[in-house]
Amino acid sequence: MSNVNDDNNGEDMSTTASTNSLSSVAAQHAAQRQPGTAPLGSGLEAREIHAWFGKHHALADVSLDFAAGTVTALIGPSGCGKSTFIRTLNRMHEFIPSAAMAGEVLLDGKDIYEPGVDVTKIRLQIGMVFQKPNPFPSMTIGQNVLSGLKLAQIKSPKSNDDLLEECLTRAGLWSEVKDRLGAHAGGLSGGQQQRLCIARSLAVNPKVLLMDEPCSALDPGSTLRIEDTIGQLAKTMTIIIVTHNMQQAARVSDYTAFFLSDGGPGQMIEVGPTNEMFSRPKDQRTENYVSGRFG
Amino acid sequence: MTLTANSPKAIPEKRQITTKPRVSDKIFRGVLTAMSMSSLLILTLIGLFLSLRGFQAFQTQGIGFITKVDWTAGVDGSPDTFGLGAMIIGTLIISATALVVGVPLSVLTALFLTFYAPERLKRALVTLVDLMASFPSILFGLWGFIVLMPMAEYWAQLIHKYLGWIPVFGMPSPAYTRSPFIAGLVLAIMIIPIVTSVSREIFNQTPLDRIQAAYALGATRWAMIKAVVLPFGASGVVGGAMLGLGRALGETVAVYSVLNIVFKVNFQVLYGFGGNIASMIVGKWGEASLTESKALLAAGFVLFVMTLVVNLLANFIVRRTVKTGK
Amino acid sequence: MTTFTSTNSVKPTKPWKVTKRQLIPSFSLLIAAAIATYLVVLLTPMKGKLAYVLLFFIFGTGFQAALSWSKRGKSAAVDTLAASIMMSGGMIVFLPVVSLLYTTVVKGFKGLRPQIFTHTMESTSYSDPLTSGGLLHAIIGTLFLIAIATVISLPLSILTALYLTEIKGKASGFIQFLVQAMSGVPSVVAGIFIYAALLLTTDLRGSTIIGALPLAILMIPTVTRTAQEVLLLVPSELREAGLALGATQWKTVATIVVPAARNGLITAVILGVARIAGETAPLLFTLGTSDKVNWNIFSGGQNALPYYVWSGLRDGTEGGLQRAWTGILVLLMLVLTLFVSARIFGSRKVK
Repeated sequence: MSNVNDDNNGEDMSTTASTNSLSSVAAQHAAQRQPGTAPLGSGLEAREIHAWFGKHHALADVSLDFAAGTVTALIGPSGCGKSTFIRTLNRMHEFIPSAAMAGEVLLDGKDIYEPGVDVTKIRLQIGMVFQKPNPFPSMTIGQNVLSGLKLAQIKSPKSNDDLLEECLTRAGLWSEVKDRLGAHAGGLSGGQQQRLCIARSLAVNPKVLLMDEPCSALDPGSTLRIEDTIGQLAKTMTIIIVTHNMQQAARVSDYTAFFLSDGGPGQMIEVGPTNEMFSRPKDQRTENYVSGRFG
Repeated sequence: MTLTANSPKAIPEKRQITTKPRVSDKIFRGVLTAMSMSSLLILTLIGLFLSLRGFQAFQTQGIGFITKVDWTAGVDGSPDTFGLGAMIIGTLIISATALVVGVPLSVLTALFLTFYAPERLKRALVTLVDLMASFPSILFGLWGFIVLMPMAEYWAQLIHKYLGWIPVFGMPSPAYTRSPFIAGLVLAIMIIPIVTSVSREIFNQTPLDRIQAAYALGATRWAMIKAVVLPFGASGVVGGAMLGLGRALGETVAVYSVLNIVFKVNFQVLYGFGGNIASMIVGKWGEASLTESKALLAAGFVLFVMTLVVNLLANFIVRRTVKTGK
Repeated sequence: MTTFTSTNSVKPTKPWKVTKRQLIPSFSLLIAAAIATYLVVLLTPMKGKLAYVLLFFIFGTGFQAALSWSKRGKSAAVDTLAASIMMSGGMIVFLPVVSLLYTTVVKGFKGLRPQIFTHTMESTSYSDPLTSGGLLHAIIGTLFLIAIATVISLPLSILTALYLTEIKGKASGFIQFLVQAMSGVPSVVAGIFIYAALLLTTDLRGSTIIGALPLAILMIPTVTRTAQEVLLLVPSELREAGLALGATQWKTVATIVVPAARNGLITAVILGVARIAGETAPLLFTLGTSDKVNWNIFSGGQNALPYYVWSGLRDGTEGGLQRAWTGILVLLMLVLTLFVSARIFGSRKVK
């Protein structure tokens, strides 16, 4: 459905082809996606975010608005601050002793960095799934899913069994583990463990789910299953996913933001609807990246 | 480079790679191996000499050497009774007190240093703990006698007043000075550096990704510690506690300085007398006859075996935690 | 190509750091706890320092936890409680250390005069006033013992460590196990072992050189373990370079590895010495005591710093105890010096 051929000035067929397929995948996704149904809250907004590690300025002036009920992919080469940025969104950045930041992150209109804010409550509303699956090995599968409730000492309106089934189903794992909820989490495969971590994050009912390269340590089969899950989840929450894999970004996201560092701090170069980013990017650097000329 | 079906090549045999070492290297290896075996030699000799020289005591007393609770050197031809029982019990009681007081404090300190203390304070405190580990035991003995004793007596009085209904805290008559309780306190302070060090090392190795997972779920610091750090480090801490126990079992001069050494069984920790094997050996040594000296050597052998077993178990547990935790 | 020159005016901040303003409620609660403690002590039979400390802890922690509960809920209250307990536990642990150091310095200082370093106890008894006598013989005795023990244990320890790190033969696991076992031998056992082996059935009498033997036994595991750690830190590239040049293993180790680890090995020895400098028990079985310096290390008693302190303590008189404190102060100064030197050597980089 794209018209990239017209824009090409006799360029390499392979890069055109890959851009072609990326944008067609993105276009497919855009076509299938219903606009945000039943969104929770009013989404997340990052304003002029800077991040430092000691004196090293790692991230400069990133402003992004994540509308409720959308999936946004953050793409870009390694080391340009995507992970750092995502960690400023749920206040995990501050665990590094030399970390500092500037700017605001607004959840439902309120800055999460305001003094006096209860940071643990923020993290209940903005969940995170990590690159390497990290279920708690000393707990069973069932206990892992419910661990968020126990850690924060909150009670869910639903019964434990109902909540377990609901979260594991939404994460796409229920059918595989429903008979062995009492087994230890360590016996699951990598892809299953990651889906368990997703279920665990869901149990505390977050409004936003941050995913830091959730599939990079998994096999393609598990990756596709998780991408399916993301699609389902997006109906009820805002998802922000960092990914190295442009095809994945094209497959799952509504919006894509491109990050780049030219030796200085990482910056957000361009953001837009995914199918536009891959077919008609506005910035030359974005075009270079998505067509595979570097990165 | 296609593989034809007609002549599949078999995988060749692995070659034996050998070198003929130079003579100097052979000597080098030989010397090092021999010198290393010295540890084996020393340990074996310790066990051997103590058990052989002390054998007479085992012979004449039989199993009663360990179980009997009376230790009296026979006078003028009457038979000796050498029963280590009282001192074994004393050793265990004093060590148990030391563990009960020292291990929780050490774990709290280790958690504090690893997860709560700001960087500069942490470095200062860690240095202080390491320093404490190098204090000679006689310093603890002297300090325990002069400084700790009055305070410990006061606490013992309090404990007796409020918890005296528990048998172990009962007392036939008020005699709070120089009790196993005080000896246990001094030993507790002496083992804190070891247990804290080992616990700190273990806690430091808690996998970061699990810690982050807990925080990302909205856990407070304590909730994270309870869910991730403690399950991970539990067995390592047990190993560290056993290392502390090993130290406490063999402590001599510190105990001797603060405890009223009497060779009778005393289960009541607050009551002012008791002893452990090590201090008994020191106490009786000066005036011991030849027979009694041999019995003391046998006692030393028992102590040797006890500390050996505890230490080996402790090291095994600590190393296993470090390995499987990764 | 960069578009962020304007951001040079943006300053890094740490909005998560607790500000002084935020601490005001906690601070006022601590004052409230102090007041509550005072009132309770006044109005109830609970008295004494322990009561004050305990009550203040209970009120302080209780109030803070209640504040957390009201503001942020149950898990925050538990977290606050845990934090208070951690900090208190930590402080309790450091009180003894501080007390030990303080007491030693204050009490020992009284007897610290230059002449104690030049006199011995040959014409004084422990209960005599402190203007006479000294501990020179104890210092020299300790130095003798340390020197002999080091000479005996150093080769054994370093060579064992080298076996474990360079040769890594089949017996390595077993030898590691043995070294660990040896580190658990109580000092009193080492002492009576030497007695049983050398003194019980022979005509030998205790002497300085025999007194150093149990110390050597105690020193070996410490030095071996530290030496092993240090040798493992030497990058394997250095070893490979030596071997690639055609050197034999022994030459590589002797001329490359050991010099590279030199600082660390010195640290290992220092730590071993610190371990044995303060040992009393072994000496009681293998060494007679002495009131003056005994230059004959093969026969006759000898005094040593821990021995000196022990005698003062056993003496029990005021003079004796004072000498004991001064002796401990000197011993502590020795141990501290060793401790600091070990740190210095340990932090010098491997060249």
